[in-house]
Amino acid sequence: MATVLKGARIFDGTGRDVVENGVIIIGDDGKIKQIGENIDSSSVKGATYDLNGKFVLPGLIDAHVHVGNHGMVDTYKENLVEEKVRAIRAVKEMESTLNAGITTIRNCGSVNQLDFSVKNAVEQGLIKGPRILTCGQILSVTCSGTEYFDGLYRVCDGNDQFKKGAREQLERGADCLKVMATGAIMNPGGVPGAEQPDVKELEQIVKEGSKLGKRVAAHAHGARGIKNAVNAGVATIEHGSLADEEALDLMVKNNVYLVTTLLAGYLMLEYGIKEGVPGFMIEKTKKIRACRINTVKRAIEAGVKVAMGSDAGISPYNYHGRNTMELLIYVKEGLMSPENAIISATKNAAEACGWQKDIGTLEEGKIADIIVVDGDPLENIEVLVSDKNIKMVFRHGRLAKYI
Amino acid sequence: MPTVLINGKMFDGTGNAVINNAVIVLGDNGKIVEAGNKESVKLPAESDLIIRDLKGRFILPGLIDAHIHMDLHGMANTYEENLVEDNLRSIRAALEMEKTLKAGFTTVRNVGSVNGIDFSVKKAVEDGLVKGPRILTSGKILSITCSGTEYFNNLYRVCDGYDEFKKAAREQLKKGADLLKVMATGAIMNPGGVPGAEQPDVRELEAVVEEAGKLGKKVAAHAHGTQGIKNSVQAGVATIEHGTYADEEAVTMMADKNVYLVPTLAVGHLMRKYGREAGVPRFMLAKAEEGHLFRLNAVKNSISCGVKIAMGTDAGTPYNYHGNNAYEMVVYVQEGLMTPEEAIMSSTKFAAEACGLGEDIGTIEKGKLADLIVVDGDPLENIEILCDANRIITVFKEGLPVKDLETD
Repeated sequence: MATVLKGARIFDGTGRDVVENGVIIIGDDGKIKQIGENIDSSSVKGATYDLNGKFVLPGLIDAHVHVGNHGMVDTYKENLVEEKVRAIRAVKEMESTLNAGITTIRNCGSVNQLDFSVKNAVEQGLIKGPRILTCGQILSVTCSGTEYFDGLYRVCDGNDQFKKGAREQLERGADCLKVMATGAIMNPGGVPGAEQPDVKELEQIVKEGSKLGKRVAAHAHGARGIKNAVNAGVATIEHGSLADEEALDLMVKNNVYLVTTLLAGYLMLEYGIKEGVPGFMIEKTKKIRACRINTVKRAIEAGVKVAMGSDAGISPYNYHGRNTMELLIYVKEGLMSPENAIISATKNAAEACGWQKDIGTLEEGKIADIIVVDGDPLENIEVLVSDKNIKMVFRHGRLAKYI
Repeated sequence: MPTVLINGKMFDGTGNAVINNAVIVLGDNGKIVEAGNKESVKLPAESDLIIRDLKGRFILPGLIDAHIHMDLHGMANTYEENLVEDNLRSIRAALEMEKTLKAGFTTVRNVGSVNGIDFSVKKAVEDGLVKGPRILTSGKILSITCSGTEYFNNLYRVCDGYDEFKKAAREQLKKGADLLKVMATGAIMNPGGVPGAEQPDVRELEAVVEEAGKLGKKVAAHAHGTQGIKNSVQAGVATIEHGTYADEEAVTMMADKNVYLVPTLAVGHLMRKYGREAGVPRFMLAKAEEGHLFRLNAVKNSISCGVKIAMGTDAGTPYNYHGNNAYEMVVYVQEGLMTPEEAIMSSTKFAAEACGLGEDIGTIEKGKLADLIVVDGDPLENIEILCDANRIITVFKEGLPVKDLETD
């Protein structure tokens, strides 16, 4: 059965102007059959929804989340929650994510490869959730602070171990690979500016990923780490806090996307020490924050494409389902127009994930991941922050939320 | 704020006649403050009472299933189940528990889970991550080395000898087991398992009972063959699961020692009903077929000898879906073993006693936890009503409405 949406204000994410009073016909196969103005849908058999001028956007994509973590303040205590309980906890979190209008997430690291289980549960229809791109555990060198997140890292040193570490994730079905190219803010003792694996080690991961047509996401704050990662051939730089001119140019030249995750730091500072955020995290965040926003600005000016990523789950108060707050920060900080913010969470994020043929824009032949929004997000991006405004969510052409 | 339920038809599960126009007062502590007919119940003095009109519907104690396996899910092909990994099973089990609660079951006794999944799901329910009944956990099932345990990967903790049984019991208790489960005889669902054959020695069974006893916990013994039943009763278990081949002596021993029988008739019924063409393995069907009449007879003999029956379904076994637990009561009535009233009591009062929770749940009485269900229709007239989740209108667990079709 087909589905027809009419009376829609379509923002298709391609850069084209908004279409007033548009029609979208979704086919049986879950793909967009027709989209645009002046489409006669009268002969189409199926459910028809008159949207009365509500906005229709491509389903949103969060290119950086952590399934299995839940925005806990006391990260260390989180190690005491065993994985089966975490898996159950993720059920509601994936539903909240979908209800927030996020139809695809790229997972950037899960404790004991929980993401594979949760993805299975979604695909078998046991639970509601977005399309999940999995990566399993994060590959990291031996360094300070990894023990702070029990089971999240696959520690490897040397080319062979990185190969094996990558293959272990791919064996379980990883859709992408995630590597720590520099130290981390959230790991005690982690030095965000310090490069970690050698380029040769990073290359092993990229090579193993490419054998199966999969991409690599590199966590990198420091400029050297960013350059190493880009030279090794990763697809995305996560965070990118301390990128210098050379690093940004390299990214542009190699069409490497920047996944910003400004929300993590924003929430840590917003809630602060009085709400229990560990002091060392706040210190490191403070040091890096101003520079990070500036980096995003410079990256955009240099022509680096930005893909929206929130870091949902892993950092304090960064709950699943709040992902779109990242967009609000882009606009508030003057980094993007609302339109560009939405494109970062649709078209650009799809490209960063390597899924641009299927999702990210509303075009004929693409998968019908579609959200219907109450209010005008191009006028006021905040509209997207409350899931009450997300009236309908279609995932792969199926109506997954309707309020 | 106390809640007052008015205008209910109360079957309190104590053996009392149904009270029309009943009033039940629920306290803030999740307990029943008072329950009785309209005239005898004094309403609390508070001005901010929540009054709920039950509109003449039946209200019963929350149902209890004394025998489930939460992380199995009614699959025909049991062996393929081994390929489903623990985290996915946990998610699935959590959803099954929500279904079970919505079917009116406010307590389940889980008698065996792969890799301690029951502990995780119980924690998730207690932390409010998912909705579910009160869960009594047992962790892995203690079994001797025998044919067929490998058919259910990691469901069994294999032990041989007194010391190993002690250690294995302690392992489950360390993880928080509310009871222990032991295989006193072979099993129908394990290939090569001989249901009639006794398995651990009495001394080994005693090791399990001793360890449970130290923490005030009970032991459930899987036992088909009569010698295995006798061994278990002698060792001091609280319940016999299945009890298929119980002879006169075994039944008398159970009655004497106040050991409850958990019949699990639904599983055989359903396996036989859906049969081989649906993919239930041949060896299981043959054994189920062979045991069926014996088991019916054993339940009949047990009842006439004064053994108390606690309702248990073996939910999770082939075609025995979670949420369809009430079907077991239908079998009791259809097979002429019990009246509907007795069937309900097997799933309330007697199941509570068998679980060692007789003081807290199982009947609607002052001071007990307010686990209650409001039912559309008369289950005393037609027990099948309880199988329809749409007719389980409201479910209270410890005084809170966890399902409410009136408002949901």
